[in-house]
Amino acid sequence: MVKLREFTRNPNIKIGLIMIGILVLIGISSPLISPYDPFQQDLMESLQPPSFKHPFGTDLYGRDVMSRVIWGAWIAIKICVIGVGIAFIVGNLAGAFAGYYGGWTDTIIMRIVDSILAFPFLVLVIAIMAIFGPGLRNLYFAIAVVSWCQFARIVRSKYISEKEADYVMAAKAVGFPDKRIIFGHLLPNAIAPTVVYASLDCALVILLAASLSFIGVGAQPPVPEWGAQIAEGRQLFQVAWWVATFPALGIMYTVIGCSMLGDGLRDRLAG
Amino acid sequence: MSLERYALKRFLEIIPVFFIVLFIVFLMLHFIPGDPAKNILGIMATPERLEQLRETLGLNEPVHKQFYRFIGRLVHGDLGRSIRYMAPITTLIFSRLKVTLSLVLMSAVICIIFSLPISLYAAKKHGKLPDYAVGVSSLLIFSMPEFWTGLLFLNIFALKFGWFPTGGWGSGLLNNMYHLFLPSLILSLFLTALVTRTLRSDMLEVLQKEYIRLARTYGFSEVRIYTKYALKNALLPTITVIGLNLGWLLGSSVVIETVFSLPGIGAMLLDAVIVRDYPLIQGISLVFALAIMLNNYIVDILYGIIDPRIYRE
Repeated sequence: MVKLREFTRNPNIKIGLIMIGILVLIGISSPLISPYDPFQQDLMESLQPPSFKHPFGTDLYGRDVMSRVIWGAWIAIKICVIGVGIAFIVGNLAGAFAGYYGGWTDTIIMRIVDSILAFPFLVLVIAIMAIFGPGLRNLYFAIAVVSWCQFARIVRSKYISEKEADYVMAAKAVGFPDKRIIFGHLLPNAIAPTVVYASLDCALVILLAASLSFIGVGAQPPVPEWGAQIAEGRQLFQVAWWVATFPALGIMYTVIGCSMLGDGLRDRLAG
Repeated sequence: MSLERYALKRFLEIIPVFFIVLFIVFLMLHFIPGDPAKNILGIMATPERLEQLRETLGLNEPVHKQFYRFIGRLVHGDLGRSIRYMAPITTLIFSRLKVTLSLVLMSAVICIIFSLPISLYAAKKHGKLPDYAVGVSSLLIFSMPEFWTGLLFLNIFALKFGWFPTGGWGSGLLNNMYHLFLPSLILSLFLTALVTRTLRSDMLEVLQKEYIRLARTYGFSEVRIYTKYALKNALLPTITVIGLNLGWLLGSSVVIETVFSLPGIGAMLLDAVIVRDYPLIQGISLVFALAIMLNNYIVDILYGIIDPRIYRE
């Protein structure tokens, strides 16, 4: 087993882990550390610039932008954990079956994957959101439906190259059932590239979710999702730049954290 | 295997995918929870209107018959009629295709203009400050949501300085390019960062090769080594990256068209989502998917032409 110490020697992994760790801490403790209630309107305090009272200023309804950005961290975490989590599990299973069994199983699964990947990522998610209606819960679902495909592709190619290995042959010769070979023997050897991709996919998914909320088909106001907040600050950019800018910084922070972790893991695990 | 056979083989592989894509698009209408007609017209609709809409959408027939009809209409280039615009969807899409295609093409051109020199420079200065600067800025560009960058540029360069129009679509080629400049610049940022990264690392790999060392011992100039010998071989993966990401550009164009209020297909898709014009959503998704499939096919074949090793096994 590789030790954690060996991983954190890579500067990208170290910085990425620290950044995401801080984000998770902020997200989990958001009800405790946010200075105001993110939904509390105070029209007397509308569009106040950043100050000691409101470090990130206030939005049109006088809500504290800092509190809303902090609550947005929790939503971002939920999007990653649920959306990418489902995609990770489904993609690993589908890819494993396709790669291990080959033949018709492989053909059917991979043709479905190819067809879903034929749509532009964003367009298919928009179509799914149009069918099932906007909102956070459908957003998790739509993201999972689209992003399991890449996982399946990665896992499949790994299983194909790995299933001829001696240890698999030996396990087969001993007469282990397929289930045990797939999950007990192959999975630990094939999971590394998908973990790398999961980290990079979180970065993509955060951007995607924000785009969807920005154009109005993702999270709906008053949910303090970062993209939705930028949409609310869109018309106010000239008079109140802070309404749209601080949520954007939240997105950038999260995406940088995830991509650095992903890049670092790729260097570490591939090398 | 010859190039023709390779092209044919790739084409045959696409056919099942094409039918599954058709099926997914067809099913969109049937995945709507509850009664699609009620969903489109709202709860205030009269039973007569609902019945009429069900009839036009063909929802009263058995599902397999509906699918045959869907395919049959497609063969004639008929995607159905939009509920909101009261017009054939094919006509609607064609009228807006120009904007979206120009946007995507112009972004691709901007991407090439910027990423080629930058990545060559970063590879030349490998391990030095400019190399790190390029690395850090590409990470920053990756992380910026493009709709926010769009808003920022729109507010600074169009509203504050008045250098560019705030949106919309002009008339005439030059005027349109002027209108498209800011949107395509923003749209190309992501791809530029990606291509710069890919090309830089491929250049570094190629520069280690024996034939480059040989060229150096011949005393060729660095410019000649970089552009003539190294770039040619490093460019292959880059072409794939650009080609395969044209689809990503097409998807992102939805967001960019919204920010810059361009009358493209993406903006129309969003309109369709807001008024629940499901036939139009189906039509646009299908056209986008077909465009990407065609694009990926062309990229595959081009790749084969450039590097015949791919199919000569």
